[in-house]
Amino acid sequence: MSLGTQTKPWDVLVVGGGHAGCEASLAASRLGFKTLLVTGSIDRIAAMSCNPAVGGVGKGHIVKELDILGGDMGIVADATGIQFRTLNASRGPAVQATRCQSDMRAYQATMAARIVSQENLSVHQDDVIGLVNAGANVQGVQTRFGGNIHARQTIITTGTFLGGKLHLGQDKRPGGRAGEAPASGLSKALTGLGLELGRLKTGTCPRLDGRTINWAVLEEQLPETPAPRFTFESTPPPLKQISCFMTKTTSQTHDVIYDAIHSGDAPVYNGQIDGTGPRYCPSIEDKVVRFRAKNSHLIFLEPQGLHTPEVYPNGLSTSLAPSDQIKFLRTIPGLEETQVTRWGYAVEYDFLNPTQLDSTLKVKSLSGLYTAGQINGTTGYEEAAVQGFLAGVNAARALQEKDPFILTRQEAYGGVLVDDLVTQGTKEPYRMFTSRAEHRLILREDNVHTRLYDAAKKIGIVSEDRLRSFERFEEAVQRNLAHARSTTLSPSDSLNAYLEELGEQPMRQGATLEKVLRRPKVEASRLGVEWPSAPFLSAGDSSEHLESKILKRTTIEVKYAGYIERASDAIAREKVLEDAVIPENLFESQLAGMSNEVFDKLSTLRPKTLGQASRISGVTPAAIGLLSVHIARKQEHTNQVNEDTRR
Amino acid sequence: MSYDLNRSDTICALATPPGRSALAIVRVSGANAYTYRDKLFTAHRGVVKDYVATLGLLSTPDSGEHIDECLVTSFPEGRSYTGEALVEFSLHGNPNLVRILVRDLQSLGCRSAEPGEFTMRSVLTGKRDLLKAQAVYDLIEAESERALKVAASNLHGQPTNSIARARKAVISVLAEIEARLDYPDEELGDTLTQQLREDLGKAQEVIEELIASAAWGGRLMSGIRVVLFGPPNAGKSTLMNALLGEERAIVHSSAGTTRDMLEAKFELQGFSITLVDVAGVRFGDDVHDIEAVGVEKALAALERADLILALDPSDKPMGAKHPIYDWPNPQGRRILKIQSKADLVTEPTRQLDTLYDFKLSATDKNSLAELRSKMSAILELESNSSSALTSAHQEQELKHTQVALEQALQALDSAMPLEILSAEIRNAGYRFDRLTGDSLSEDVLNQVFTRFCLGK
Repeated sequence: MSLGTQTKPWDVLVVGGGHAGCEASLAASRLGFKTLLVTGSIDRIAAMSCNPAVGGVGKGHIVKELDILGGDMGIVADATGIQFRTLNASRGPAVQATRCQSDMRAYQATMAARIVSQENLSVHQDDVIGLVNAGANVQGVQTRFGGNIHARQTIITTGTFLGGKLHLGQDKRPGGRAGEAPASGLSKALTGLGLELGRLKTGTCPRLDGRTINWAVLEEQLPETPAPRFTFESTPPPLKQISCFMTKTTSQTHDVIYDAIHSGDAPVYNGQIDGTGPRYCPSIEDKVVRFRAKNSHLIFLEPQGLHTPEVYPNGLSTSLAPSDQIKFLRTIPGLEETQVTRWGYAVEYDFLNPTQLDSTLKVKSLSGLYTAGQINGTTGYEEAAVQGFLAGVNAARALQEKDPFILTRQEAYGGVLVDDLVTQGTKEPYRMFTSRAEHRLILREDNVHTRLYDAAKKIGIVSEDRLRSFERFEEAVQRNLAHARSTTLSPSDSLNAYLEELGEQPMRQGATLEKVLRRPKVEASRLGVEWPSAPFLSAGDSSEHLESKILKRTTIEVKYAGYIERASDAIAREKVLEDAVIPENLFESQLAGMSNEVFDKLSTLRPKTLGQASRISGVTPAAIGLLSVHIARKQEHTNQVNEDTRR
Repeated sequence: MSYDLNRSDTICALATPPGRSALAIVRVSGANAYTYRDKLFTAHRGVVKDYVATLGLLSTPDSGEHIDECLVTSFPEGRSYTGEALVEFSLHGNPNLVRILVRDLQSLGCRSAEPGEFTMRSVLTGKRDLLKAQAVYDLIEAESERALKVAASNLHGQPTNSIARARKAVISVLAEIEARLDYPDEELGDTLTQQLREDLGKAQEVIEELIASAAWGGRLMSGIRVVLFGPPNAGKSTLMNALLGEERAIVHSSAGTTRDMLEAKFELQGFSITLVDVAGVRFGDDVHDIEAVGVEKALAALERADLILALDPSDKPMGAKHPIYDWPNPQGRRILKIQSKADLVTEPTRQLDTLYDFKLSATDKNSLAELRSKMSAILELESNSSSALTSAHQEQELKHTQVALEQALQALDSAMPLEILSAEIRNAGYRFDRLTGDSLSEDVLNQVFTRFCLGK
């Protein structure tokens, strides 16, 4: 296995060193396969092309899931975060989500260090310009300088680089990211193999010189203490924690933007961009046009790191001409004299319609080829990372000849993401929202180590020790819950003082701990109770953070018990559909009774389970009933054939 | 019975009553309906147009032997009752002709339809929702004018529309909630609860009204139960015979003659009424064993009654000791207290006048007519809504929906976080879907369709 003159192919070849590519190559190499990461620029591995942040609502969930399964994003984010917060802290447990500001340089360097020091993993810099294939069997890639590189499994994670085109005012030029060339040739190779590509666009903000911002007039957003963390272990943040600041656009800002649009300077509006942009992370010109009634939009000024003055004005993604950018920026309080370090721009790129993938992210029509990340129509580091991880794991499992590893919608946001992509496809950059998860009450951050315990064990990247500490944590929670049910609290002055502080009725007679904890605002840690989890923690796991996590989880399990139970029942009901596997060959010929339209959809998308089929748009409940009949018939037929052969 | 959900074959059935008649209509529905038609039928003018009744000859496919001259009407896929290609053969009404046509259709591969299968297919093809399918059934089965009106209103979509409105009001809140959950940094405000409480309240009203109507609707279809109740020899059987206008119950002057229950149907002002005559109730010590059983049944009949006619004979009045006063009436049934045998009234019993709603002399035509109009006025009051759900299954689904809405309100009142509210609202939405059949499952289908009669 060497480059150029190699004779033996690599086990796994990953194209692209972004957030998807990093997780893919780490996962595959940790599962014991010789892996090569090919990137256009080794110095830009794990670059944060857009905002200097990890996590958020739905996204923090994904990072935590990845951490339990054996991915690296959480570890690196925890090691390089400079402000941690819990979003939706005033809301319920299911939508509370961790987010951090990252020191971009530190993030990149830390992840790159993990890549280059990983056993079984090599890194190589070259441009991938095509694929090597024998028919429908993909066997590696063609590079611009080093010729063909052969591999048994190939994972493409090219992000926005595939046919990338940058827009800045009326200027447009090929590029995958500011200052970097696009990947050319690969799109043609993919369409040449019969795959369908579409066009999407996304944008980023101008970056500002923090030394030219008038901080004194801005509202400060302090870091949360103690800092919430992504990783299960939750060691305290090693870097200094700093604040973000908030400002708002003004009616003058909006006027400037209107004028720019009318003068034809906005690529989004002058017809220069064909790709579909995200509805939910819109450019400031989109926001101004679409929400005319709103005369001000909130802007977060986020530091890009501890050792750079550069600031990311979150909420100001734009592709207006530089002269317009500086003009509107200076109408914003605090930015009156700001200097721009880099211009905002939009990028338009090719993506692969993800309905062409199966649930392992393998291209259905080809063997040996996976795609992950933004190439599949998603947006966001976290969405990319979990796809990369799943593709890496599945490429490895294919080599091990093991059954595929599929996260389900019922157990993880990662499962919701992949399932949505492969059954629904996407017409705009797909971002995770908690509302996409029908089992949101179950897919929480606090229980991630229990709901994904079996999955982590199956994958086999997470160490036995770590699995054991997941178990111990949960045992402690269960002991607390038993304690809450069996212990009676009698009213005391201190307890009633706490209740009154919360605006709750004081206690007049004794009640079980569980009952007291069910009161809306009461927290387990504040009841002055000796919880059974405490001695467990002192026996080795002394992190205060872990203890507060156990108590928080105890509180949640008690407070929302009825709702959580009902949500679990719903999952159990659905399991019937999810467990009904559709035979591979079911769609080989037209199914009697089914309309052509539905049949075409099903035979193209080839859902693996009835559950998946039921989520495909246009597939009616009646069609599902029909499918189940056909599955039963096929099963009967197969049994019959087996019996006949035995005779 | 299990239905063929895949609509994989073409089905046929006689759509008119069996036996000799002027006409007999055989319906054929499914992918091959037109193919079968063309093998069996030759139009006199050569062409068969959609929607137009076409005259031609029916012949047996193998021999080519002519069976009948008949009219054929064809409806293309998507534009027929079932939503599939559908052909109606209108034959002369001889059962032998029908048998031959059905046999020929079967020889071509057509299958005899299960009861209700045509309508089930119309639901499977999305031609109508479950509520309307039920209405089709009701329209055919309706035993009175009132029941017909309700079925027609249901078929027209009145409950479908009010359910859809309630569902929409509840579901529309979801978008507001989700925006707040997924965009924590946007300043969207927290003033949702009032609106939500109102929307949930409105939805609850709709559902409660439908539940109330379902109990009534069921009775409209199966007959409103009017129970005759009173001591032995109070003239219950005489009244029953008088209302029915025939000698249905045995009338005998010795007490305790009617030991079992008698039921009979009659129509009153468009209402289908099931009249129930129960054993005379005595609560004394001299009750024979067989009568004790009768008493128990009488009490059970009271529980199920829509209207109770409590009779007290004027020749042997019980007054305030009448057993109706011993019955707690847990569900608040309407009771009409009647002094019977008013023609036998004697001076001393006049003191009891205030106890009665009505004085009846069952042998007097005018007195009887007065009672009839009194009864129909009461029923008229009960049936103030023109549409009503009619099946026990629908009533049960409505109750599930009610519980889901109740749970959502509970979550709201106990200040549960928004995502929990959202889950509760989604659950209510799921219940709404089950009601209209927007999310179908085989068990729902089976419950609705096993009650259909053949060929509808």
